[in-house]
Amino acid sequence: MEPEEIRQLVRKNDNDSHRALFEAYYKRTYAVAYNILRRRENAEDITQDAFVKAFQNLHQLQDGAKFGAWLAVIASNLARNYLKREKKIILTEELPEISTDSVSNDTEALALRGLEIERVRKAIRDLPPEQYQAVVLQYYHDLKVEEIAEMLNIRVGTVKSRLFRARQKLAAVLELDSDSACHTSKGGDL
Amino acid sequence: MSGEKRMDISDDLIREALQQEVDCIEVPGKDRAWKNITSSLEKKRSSVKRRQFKWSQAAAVAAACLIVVLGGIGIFRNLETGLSLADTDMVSETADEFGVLEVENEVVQPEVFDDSLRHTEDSEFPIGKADLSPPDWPSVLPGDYRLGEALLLTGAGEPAYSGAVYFNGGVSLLLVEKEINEKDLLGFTEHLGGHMQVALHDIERANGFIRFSVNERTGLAWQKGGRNQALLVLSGQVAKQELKNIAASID
Repeated sequence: MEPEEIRQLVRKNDNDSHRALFEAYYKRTYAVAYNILRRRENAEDITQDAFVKAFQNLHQLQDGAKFGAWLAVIASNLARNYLKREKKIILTEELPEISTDSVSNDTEALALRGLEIERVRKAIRDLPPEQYQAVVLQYYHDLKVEEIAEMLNIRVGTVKSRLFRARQKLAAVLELDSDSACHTSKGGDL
Repeated sequence: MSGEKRMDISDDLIREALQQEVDCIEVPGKDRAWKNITSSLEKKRSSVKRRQFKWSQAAAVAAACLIVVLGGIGIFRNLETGLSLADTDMVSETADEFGVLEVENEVVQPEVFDDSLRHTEDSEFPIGKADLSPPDWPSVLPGDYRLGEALLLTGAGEPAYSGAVYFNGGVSLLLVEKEINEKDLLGFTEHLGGHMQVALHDIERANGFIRFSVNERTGLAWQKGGRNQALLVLSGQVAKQELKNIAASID
């Protein structure tokens, strides 16, 4: 959906525009909630709550084009609050694995790329919620650090710190896996 | 391979990985979710109108009103100096010379105050009651402050302005507003309780806000969308910037 189209829907703020925004953003918002909560039922509830809150406060959104990011903030905050409230240890549900069939016939480079993406996906799922939140806003919604700080009501330095730590973890996983991959693929000294 | 290069690759990979996380996820039935959302919206719309006043919160409300009154005095006196809202000059009051404002080199006497109307222990503080037809208060303010109660606050026994108390854990905020009338922000603050005088601290104007503190509680007042609005910290600690962010988010 184009930014101007989103702006118009936000400006319109009626039942039809709500439905259109829901259709466009439900899946990605659910993904954000699910990645934090790891429970389908909880993620579904939180996603619905996030839409309700967003639609109730839609008139407060200054730049309608940022609806997706704003909704992601609402959903991730609700999910984080839920975790804090419940203080539960979240047992990870099995997530769908990336099919390797599609890359098996491709070039080796593509296959390696696919493996790397899979590693990053797994690492992303292991990020603490506040780091995951910052990562989603920067890399998925393409927000600037200042915009993230404004949306989360935290300092720019805090955002930078969260992003830095998250990237460190992701990079470390790649380094680690690439080292271990080398050992396994080469089979060591036989 | 340098560490820097690895971080560049990570940027790219992160984007792709996040996209795949969304693409691959199985979402539950959309229709059911949409039905629940519309149902919740409808319930919330009607419940806000039917919101009942809880007497258990009367004490908190009274305290809230007191803070409003004290804060209102600060704004009132501040405006008496004739400076515009956008003025960034600092205004301060000496602790010893109660009631005398110093604005740069100018000293202004708040002549409008009548000693006979000063607050005494016998004075009645204004009190709020349930607002049965509240404006459309946001249900959540930035920082996850949840709407607790919609109130009709009174000044000198008369309905004065709409208010809403928000809670997040041990922190509570009071948001009040009144449409700008012929009395403008001055009238707003008069109704907040301009008849009582208290010592004020840390009065500051900047970027359209008037910030003040009373008894170490902070508050902000501003004009927006044809309304005078004020936000006060009733309990707990809230950073100035957070208050500004909340204020900026309110339409």
